[in-house]
Amino acid sequence: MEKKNWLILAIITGIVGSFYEFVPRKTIKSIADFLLFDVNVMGHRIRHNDLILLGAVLLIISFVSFYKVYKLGRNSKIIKKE
Amino acid sequence: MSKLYSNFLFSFVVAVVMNALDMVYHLATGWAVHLNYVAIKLTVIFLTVWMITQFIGLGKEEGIVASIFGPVMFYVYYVFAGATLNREIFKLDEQFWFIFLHIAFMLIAYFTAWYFAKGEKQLLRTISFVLIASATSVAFYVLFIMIRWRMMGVSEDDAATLMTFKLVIIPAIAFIIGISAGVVLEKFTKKRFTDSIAAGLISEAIILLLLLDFILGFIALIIVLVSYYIIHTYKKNLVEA
Repeated sequence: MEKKNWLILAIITGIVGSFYEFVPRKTIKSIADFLLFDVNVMGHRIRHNDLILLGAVLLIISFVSFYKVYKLGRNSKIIKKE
Repeated sequence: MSKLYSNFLFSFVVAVVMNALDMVYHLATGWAVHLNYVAIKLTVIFLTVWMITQFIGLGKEEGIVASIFGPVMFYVYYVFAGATLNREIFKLDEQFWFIFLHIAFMLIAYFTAWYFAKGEKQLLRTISFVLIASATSVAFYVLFIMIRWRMMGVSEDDAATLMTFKLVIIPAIAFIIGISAGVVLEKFTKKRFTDSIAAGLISEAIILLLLLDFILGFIALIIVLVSYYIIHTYKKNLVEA
């Protein structure tokens, strides 16, 4: 994947991840009920803690994508110097 | 074997070893070890290490970044997630200073696993192997006990109370003795699979003698063999890479 695509992935997952990680349940509910995914999946009810874990996973993807962008940028700088 | 599978196993070992060190520390110092929290810690740490290893690489810088970021993300989860255990009864590792302890355990886990595959000094590689194989076996053993309790219908609060240091110290010693003996035996016999079979049987015998539980003894044998397979498979692929 190219640097631009990594950056897009980092920003999108960062925004969605931060939303579920840091925004309180009441605020999410006031925006739209469906954002809470208050449903049963194979007998397991989706709780708010599951959404926070999802947020953490998305933030990990975001961080790794930013790290990849940094690495690609650093590598291209080294190649240019040579 | 694909790079994906090899990186998957390496990251899995790092996450499991980190959790084993963490669980032993918690049990030794009176902090609660609870299946749900262990599962989340494993998921967050594994995903961090795997994504960095798969998409960026394996090395000193990547190891340090993963070791810092994983525990920070886990702490963030702790801060924002709702409590499921009674904090007045159970002490959980959610204080800020635990980040530093988790980082230290992550650094030990990552660089031991890495050194075993890429290191040059034979003695240090052997010590690394004994550490990661024992820690992986301890983690599997504790997870087995916790899942067994959950399937038997033991409540979350009771399971956290029952999980004590006494429960883990005998298997930990059995795994260390068994795996060390396996390493020594392999040096003399030079035969393939001698080490894993010897390590598994010795660990099983110690657990059987001291705990008088046939199922736990048999599980210890299986656990050691699985740990050996995982560790040797990722090592083989990292060496070839």
